[in-house]
Amino acid sequence: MSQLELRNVTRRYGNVVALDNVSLSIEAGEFFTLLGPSGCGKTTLLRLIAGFELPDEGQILLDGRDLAGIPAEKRPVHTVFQSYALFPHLTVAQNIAFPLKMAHCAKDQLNQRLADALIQMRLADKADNYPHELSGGQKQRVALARALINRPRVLLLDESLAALDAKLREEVQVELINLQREMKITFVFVTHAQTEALALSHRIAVMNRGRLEQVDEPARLYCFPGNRFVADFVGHINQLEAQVIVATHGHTRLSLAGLGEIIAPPDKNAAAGMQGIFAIRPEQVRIGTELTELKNHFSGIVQSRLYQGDVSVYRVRLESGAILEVLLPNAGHEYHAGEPVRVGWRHDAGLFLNE
Amino acid sequence: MHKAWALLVYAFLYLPLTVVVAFSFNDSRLNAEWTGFTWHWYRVLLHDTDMLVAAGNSLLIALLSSLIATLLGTMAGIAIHRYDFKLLGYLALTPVAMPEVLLGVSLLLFYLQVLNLTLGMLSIVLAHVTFSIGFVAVVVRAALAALDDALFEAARDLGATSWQTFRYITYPLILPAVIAGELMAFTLSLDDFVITFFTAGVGVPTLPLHIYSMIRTAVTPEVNAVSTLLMLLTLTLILLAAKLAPDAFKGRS
Amino acid sequence: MNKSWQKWLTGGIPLVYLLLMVATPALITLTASLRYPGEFGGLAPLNDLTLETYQFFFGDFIYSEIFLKSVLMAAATTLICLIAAYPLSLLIARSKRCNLLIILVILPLSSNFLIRIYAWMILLGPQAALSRWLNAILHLLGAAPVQLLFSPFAVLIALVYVHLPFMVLPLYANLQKHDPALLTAAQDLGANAWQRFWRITFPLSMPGVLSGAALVFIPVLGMFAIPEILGGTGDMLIGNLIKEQFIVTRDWPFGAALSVMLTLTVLIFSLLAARISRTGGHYA
Repeated sequence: MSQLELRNVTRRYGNVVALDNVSLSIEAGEFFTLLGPSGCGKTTLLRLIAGFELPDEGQILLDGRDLAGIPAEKRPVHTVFQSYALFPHLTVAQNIAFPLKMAHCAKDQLNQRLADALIQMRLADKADNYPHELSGGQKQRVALARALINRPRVLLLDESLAALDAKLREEVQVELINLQREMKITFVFVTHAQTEALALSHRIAVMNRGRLEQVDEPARLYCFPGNRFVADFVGHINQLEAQVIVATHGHTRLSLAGLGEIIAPPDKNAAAGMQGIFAIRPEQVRIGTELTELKNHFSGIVQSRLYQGDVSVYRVRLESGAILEVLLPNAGHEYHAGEPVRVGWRHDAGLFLNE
Repeated sequence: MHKAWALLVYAFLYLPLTVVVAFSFNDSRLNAEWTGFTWHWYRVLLHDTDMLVAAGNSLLIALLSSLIATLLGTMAGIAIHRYDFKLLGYLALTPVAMPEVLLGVSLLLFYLQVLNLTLGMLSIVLAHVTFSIGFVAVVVRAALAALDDALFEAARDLGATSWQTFRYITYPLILPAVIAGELMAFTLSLDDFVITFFTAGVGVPTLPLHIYSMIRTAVTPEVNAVSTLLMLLTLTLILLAAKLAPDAFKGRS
Repeated sequence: MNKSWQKWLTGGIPLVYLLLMVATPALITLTASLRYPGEFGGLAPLNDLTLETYQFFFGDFIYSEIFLKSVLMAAATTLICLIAAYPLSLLIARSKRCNLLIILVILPLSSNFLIRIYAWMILLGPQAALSRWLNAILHLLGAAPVQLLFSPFAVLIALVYVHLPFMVLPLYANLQKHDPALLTAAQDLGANAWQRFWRITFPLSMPGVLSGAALVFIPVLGMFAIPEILGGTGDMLIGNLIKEQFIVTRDWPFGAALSVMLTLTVLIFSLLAARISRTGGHYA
């Protein structure tokens, strides 16, 4: 049985439907991420789990128990807020010990657990400082320590890394992964940054306008996006109009508008005559002068090159007018704007998306 | 150029008060020329029983009304900020936004026509509370607005009941503002003239009322002396209040 | 649901108190203006209502005249306060020692209102330096001596004196928030000092100007102590009129009617100010 379950949860604000019949199962010990653009409902979902708002329809169950009658302060679920919400008039130690104090924990136990938490989060030397004296990363750790000290069943993180600069963000991400794997507490993480989601999670739920688009492991989400939105939102992807000619066991033959035929991976759901999109990631496309060893190749002219240090993103204009984005490491050959080239990809790269 | 203007304005603001203070030490009945330094008028002041009674009344009224106003005003400030209680906001600020005459007159009618109340201590205290609530509410509300709203949610999230949230989070964080509000209410009550004028009746003179009658009848530098002392007191209170809740003084809306 | 009863728990008692002490007296005043005066002053029993008081008010032009004078006096005070306060507020807002400077503005408010009036009695009195020098100069020019005290001039200067800090504070609070980069950008694009002030600083400061104007204009409308102490016999304003009805003449219905008229005047100006701030204030 899954630990945290949402069944047909709907939440409305006046005429706006923030969450539309959402059902979800999260396993114990999972690092589960809610990913989507702003306004997709991910923060609302978090607030419903925490208990700050109640669903208009549907149920939320924790370990099989319906959370409906239980107010936020009694739920074994804690939140790390985007602004950290550290109490400015309390020291680091007092902040972290706060949940234990509210639960009327015995003094010795409280002090012991506080000491452990301070050591675990490397905050022992900052115990008597006040929040305004801390750096961004330190505040983050205090917020985490405070939310974890009484071992909640689920930890909710609301865009907690948004306030950190890029370098610090990466460090904290690594810390978060280690912390979660070590403590084996279920993390529900909200973010709009898809690279972050891919790096941290066991599973990701992509949301859009109150609905779940796809729930999957990061690799599967990246390689096999279920629809245009997910394909577009998670990473970069090229989209070319296509029609299915033949769909067999071993491959799919597609006709790309204005270009010609290609061979694509097999697709159970494809049938001859279907209109849709052929999607392929920029790193799966190759540029060369001949490329005859690939089954799929076309002519094009390099339009522009975006140099990024380790890689370059080329934009190549095909005969049909479509622009293809190609990602190449800079260690190999370099191409210039205006240069005629051939682009191609393997017969098992990319996928067909119907709609 | 701005500097010269600013100096002029400051001079304008302080000259009259300096004159008042200076002449309180003047050895002359007339407030015209400086004839010599003396403590005489302060001695007269200390023996003036009418003045002392009025001062005592003023202090008592200020203490009572400011405590009540602070309690009610703090509740109002919290209610307005947290629950967007618009009606309460308008009612609390009406005495602040309207000319004092109107409140004074309407209270007079209310006391005499409806409540049949004899004008005295009670009528004055109630009136002072009425106009002070708004000031305290504004100060408390400003303090709450400056806080991260997530703090209160965080407290709940971590297991605090409503009472625990108030006791450990809200109360310590608004305490400086509450004290500042209390000091302001005290000062307002001590200094009030217009509303007290209409609601005091005959039996209870307050310091401002007494000063008023002195100005209208027989002016001696004793008025200067009591003015100087009063200024010192309210000055201290205002400075204390400004220290405790600086945001309230900056953002008037 | 939880929120609702918490709202009434915290806000309920102050609300009841204010309904009792602000709203109810206001209603009483309104009804009082519609009653007959009692035999020995005060109010007659609540049997008949009448519009007599309002007819009385509009019947004799002298009352409207006093209203007009009060509005003009309030407008003049506000304007002078604005002109005096603006450069000062600008200076304080841009200064490093703004906290100290603003406290220096607030300090005079610590003196009792009556004391501030009394101070001008001293300064404008016939024996004080100012009066003597002025009259000496006038004497040299062959003009008749003037009396500074008990004149509209005395009333005006005292009104400005008492209310000046209330114009400075909101103006300063607003100016302090202005982004200096805006003026730098304007200068970069070719605006001179006057243009920068008139087209950028002043419009952006409108909310502060209106707040300050409201804090001066409205209280001045209802003033009676200053005209009474420093003004001559012909310098009566609305406040004096109202006070007289209640304390001297004991014609309460008429006093109540005057209060109602004053309230209406204040409301009209408040709405006007709100209107201006909404239409002109999309800069904020």
